[in-house]
Amino acid sequence: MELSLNTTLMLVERLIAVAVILQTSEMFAIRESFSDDGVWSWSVLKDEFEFFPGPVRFFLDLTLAYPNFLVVLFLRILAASVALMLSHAVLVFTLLLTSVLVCLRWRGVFNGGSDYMTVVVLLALLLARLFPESHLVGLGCLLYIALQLLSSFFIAGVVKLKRVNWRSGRALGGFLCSGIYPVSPLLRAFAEKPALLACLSWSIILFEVLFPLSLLNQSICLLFIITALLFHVANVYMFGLNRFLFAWGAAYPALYYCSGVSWS
Amino acid sequence: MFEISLSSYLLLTLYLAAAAFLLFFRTRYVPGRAIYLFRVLFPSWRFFEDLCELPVLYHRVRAADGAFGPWRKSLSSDRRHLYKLLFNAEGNKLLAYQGLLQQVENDMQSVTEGSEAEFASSVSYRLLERLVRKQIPRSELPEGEGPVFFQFRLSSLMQGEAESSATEILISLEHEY
Repeated sequence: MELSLNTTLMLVERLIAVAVILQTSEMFAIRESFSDDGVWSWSVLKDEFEFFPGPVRFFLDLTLAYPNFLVVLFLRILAASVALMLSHAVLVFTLLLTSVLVCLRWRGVFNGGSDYMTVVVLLALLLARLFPESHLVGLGCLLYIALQLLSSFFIAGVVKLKRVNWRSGRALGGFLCSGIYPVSPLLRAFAEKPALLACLSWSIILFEVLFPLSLLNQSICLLFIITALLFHVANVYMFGLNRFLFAWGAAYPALYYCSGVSWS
Repeated sequence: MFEISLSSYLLLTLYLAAAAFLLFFRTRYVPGRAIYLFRVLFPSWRFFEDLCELPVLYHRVRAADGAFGPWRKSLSSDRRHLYKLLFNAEGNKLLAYQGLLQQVENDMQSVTEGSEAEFASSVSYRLLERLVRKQIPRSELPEGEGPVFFQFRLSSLMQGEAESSATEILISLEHEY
């Protein structure tokens, strides 16, 4: 399957728009938690930003206090909905700015990795949209997304490889039994089988460490992407990390495109 | 058939070199509140690096003239459902709560002897107090007139270990409900 540079950029843009729509819809659903009576009340949180200069504090007060923050979320979902049909730097900039504001509202990040990947994709897309005529900038942006994507697996794999708990399977057993979902008897039984855990641990480590091989060509890349998607679905089932599926899903077309470029 | 160019091999070698480098690389904590708040701009991909101690939150309540009831776990588990693949607002909120507990635990490491009272006015502590207040169900409140007080406790538990092995890291002041 051949994808042109522009088609790939458009695909990445549409997919990240879908991810942002889902993320923002979830945030609307938990709006009570950042209202004035909620856990993350701005009246408490704003003390965290006291060291910023006055104009920045004014801007943050204006955008992050409740109910103004709902307007930010509305703007975010509106920009993402339009980005499903149109490509424009202003739309991507709006998505990037509102994504950073959402992270600030939760003291840096709301959901860790998925926020990182969303911002990585939006930053690269913004640059590509600011220079729509430049093939080189477009290619650089896709390469940046692809390298961050490779790093996300590769670094996660290498740090696991260093840990004896991962190599023995003990870490995986511990993680499986400490998520946000209750541990079923079946899962508990699985977590108590060291040989199975070690086998699965090594599969995960090898998959993550070998992920850079996906750059070699598009057939290998497709194989890695399909495995990665299954890996994401397993993570949703085990740990409830659904936002990762969509944030990473938006980045895969960039990797696929880069794996097909002849770099010689 | 596979077509592998020389530069692809070079890329691969670069990655393997990075692997060797990372194996001897230690993470350094970069201080600074602004960097911390804007950390979304500096991605970290060290997912599920190793088993660690996870904070667990408990609370207990009492009537103005009574004794405290038993400690109860403040955060309950979520339930799996197929639709959560697309939309998992409650699950992500629970993960954010867990993040808050870890933040409190991290912040507590900078609390020195004698400055515990100061910690009670910190953003993390106040957020935690609000979280507990929201998590106490009406059914747990003592019957009758008069004010109700609550207290919370943060314990640290190694992932995968039994709850009985948890160690205490914070017992809060008493707060009026």
